[in-house]
Amino acid sequence: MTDSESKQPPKRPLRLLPLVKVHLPPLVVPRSLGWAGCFGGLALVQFTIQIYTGILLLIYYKADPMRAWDSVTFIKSNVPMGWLIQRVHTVSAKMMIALVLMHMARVAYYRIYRHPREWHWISGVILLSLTTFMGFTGYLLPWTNLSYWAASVGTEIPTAVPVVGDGIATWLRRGPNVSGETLGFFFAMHVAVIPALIAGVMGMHFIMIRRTGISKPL
Amino acid sequence: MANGEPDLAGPSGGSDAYRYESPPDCTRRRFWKLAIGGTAAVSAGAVGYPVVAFLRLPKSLGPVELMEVPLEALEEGAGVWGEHRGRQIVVIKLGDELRAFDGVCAHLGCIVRWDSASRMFKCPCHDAKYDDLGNPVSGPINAPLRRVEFVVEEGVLKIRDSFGQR
Repeated sequence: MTDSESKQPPKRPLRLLPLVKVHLPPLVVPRSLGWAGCFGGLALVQFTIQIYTGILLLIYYKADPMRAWDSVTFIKSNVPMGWLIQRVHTVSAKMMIALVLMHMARVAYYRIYRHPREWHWISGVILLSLTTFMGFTGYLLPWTNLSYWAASVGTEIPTAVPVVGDGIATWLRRGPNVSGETLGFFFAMHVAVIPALIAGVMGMHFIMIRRTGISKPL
Repeated sequence: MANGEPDLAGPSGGSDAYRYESPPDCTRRRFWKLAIGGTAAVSAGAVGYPVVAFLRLPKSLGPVELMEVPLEALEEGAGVWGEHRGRQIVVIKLGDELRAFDGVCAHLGCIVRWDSASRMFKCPCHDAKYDDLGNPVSGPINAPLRRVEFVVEEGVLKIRDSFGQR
């Protein structure tokens, strides 16, 4: 055995978990952090549930006013476990909005939005509006009476803005009224644009938390 | 203590008769490992099973089956029920005419019953009534029953495609 051979480290099996642990330093959490400190993380859990149930629903959903409702009915009554996946998707969407609001209420109560965490708050407000838009666009997709009128009323709101309001509403509806074009637009926003934005802003939100650490309640 | 077991008898010692000797493989750590591992496995199953099931082929998209009803089985005014690709289909005979319907009520999806006495389809859930053409008569419905197309060949009524437009 030569000298260089003996200096070689012993061969060990590649273990991925230690590798992750080395590159992701542990997040130090204050001892006084209670269960209310979990709302943000739980909102992330809801988001991942939304992603995987959403991908499953995409298999059968048709963004076409003639077939949207039938395709949702098909998922609920014909696809094995479809009723569960569809229901989890709708319920968990509502829970995600509720959790984001509860998270923000806690942050506001403890005044965690102050320096050095202003951008945490600002990105959080952006995430709240993105989550709300996610729910709003998703609500139209089953193309029921309720969702049609919800979209009509919702897209009416920007008309209160002077000068550009009507233009914004028309732009959102892709025309003067809620129609099949609105459905296509909302569908694209719901499955592609808004989730990508949420994932991006969430990533920044988490990096900020990593940099400053979790705030200690007074 | 040998092999790291806690001394339950305490530092002052005690009667050996009351000392508890746990088996060597029954430790608190092992218990928690099993408990947490078991919970994780059950949770993974609860999340994974619906996903795997969702990806299975729905019955109604499976290979085309033929639902066959021999004409002798059809009596005047009576309904004959059968299942076709996961749907409940009813065939009724009125005089010389045969009609086939998807039995799903247009209201909330219950299976309607054919009442041969009044010649009406009645839904047991919310009392929706349809006439013998499947058109709504009364109740919380504003859409007809779905008609199903069929062919009659060599004395047998055959249904190939139970999907149709409402």
